[in-house]
Amino acid sequence: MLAASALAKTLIGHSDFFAVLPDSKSTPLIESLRALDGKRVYQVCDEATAVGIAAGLLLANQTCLLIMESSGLRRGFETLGRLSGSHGIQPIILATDRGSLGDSDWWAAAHYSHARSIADAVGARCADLTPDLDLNQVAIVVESAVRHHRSQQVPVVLWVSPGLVERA
Amino acid sequence: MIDDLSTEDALAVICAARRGRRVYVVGLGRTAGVLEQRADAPVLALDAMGCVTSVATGLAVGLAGTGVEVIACDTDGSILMELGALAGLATCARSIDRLDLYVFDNGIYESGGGCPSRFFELDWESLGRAFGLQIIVITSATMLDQRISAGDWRGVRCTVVRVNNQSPVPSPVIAADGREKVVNFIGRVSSITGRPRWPRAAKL
Repeated sequence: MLAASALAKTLIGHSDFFAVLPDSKSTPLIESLRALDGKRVYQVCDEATAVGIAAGLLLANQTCLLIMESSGLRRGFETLGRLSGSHGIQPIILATDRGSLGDSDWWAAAHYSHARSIADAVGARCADLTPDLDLNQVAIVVESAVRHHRSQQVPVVLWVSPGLVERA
Repeated sequence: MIDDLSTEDALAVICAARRGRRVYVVGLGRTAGVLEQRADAPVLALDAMGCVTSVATGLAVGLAGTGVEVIACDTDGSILMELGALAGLATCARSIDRLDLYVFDNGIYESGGGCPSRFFELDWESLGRAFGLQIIVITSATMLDQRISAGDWRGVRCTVVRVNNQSPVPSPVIAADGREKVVNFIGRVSSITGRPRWPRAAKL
């Protein structure tokens, strides 16, 4: 299975900055990004704030990949809805896909349906990064997401399986 | 103590004092209406309470090294809605060349029916210190002018301006919608910085 460090190497070339939220599963990925270029990684404590910071960077022609747990879409929904829906500033998000099939944590179950409902509400284009993909296939999905993000028409969300980000 | 400084008065001082390349980020309501009509530099008015400071933070990080100053005009209600923005600002401060944050504190949600913004004494200086940010509270045009005229500074400067408004809320500059405001702003930022405007030409 792909390790977080390999995914980090794929992501680092596709974004100028990374706004990351605390998330038990994606910590190895975040640490890998920090190891590659810590100056481009900002840990923010609130998803709404992170969405705002990413929007500001975009206004300066700098891309910022948001990395959060899927539950973070709930927290960031207000800011996401206003900046995306009312102002057309579209984020690109990599969200740890909690509550999906195989996740045994009871508290994660609601994350799955809530996060997808929110992504649907803002018209996001979504793709899945699952453990069955090899590095080349992951790279293709990431490149497609980045390309779509450049159109600045809708948010882009990559649902990443915990298995892809939790192993260093 | 609130004296007779109005939002219009305060923004007149702020805008008159500015030299050099700069952009403004503001929220909604009176502050946006006045600033859009008065500023002689690009203004992005966001219909998004709670994220003015966050967007300005990201913009300031993105404009580091360009010599462009970001002036954020937030409000007390907006900051109280999203105090996490101060944590985000503190986190990013190391990467910011020049972000001048003003919080216009009228003590009410003027665009939200005029109800109080809080039912307690808000100690802005202590709030700033909690995030490692030095906040100065201004209550007069003279104090504001002195604050702005103070020596050269780098990084993040935070000022709370206590205001008391009696005049009607001015209308915002007409735009088709919030997207047009963003597109216009991005174009003007691009012309100031010389950077290509978003979206970049696809490299893939």
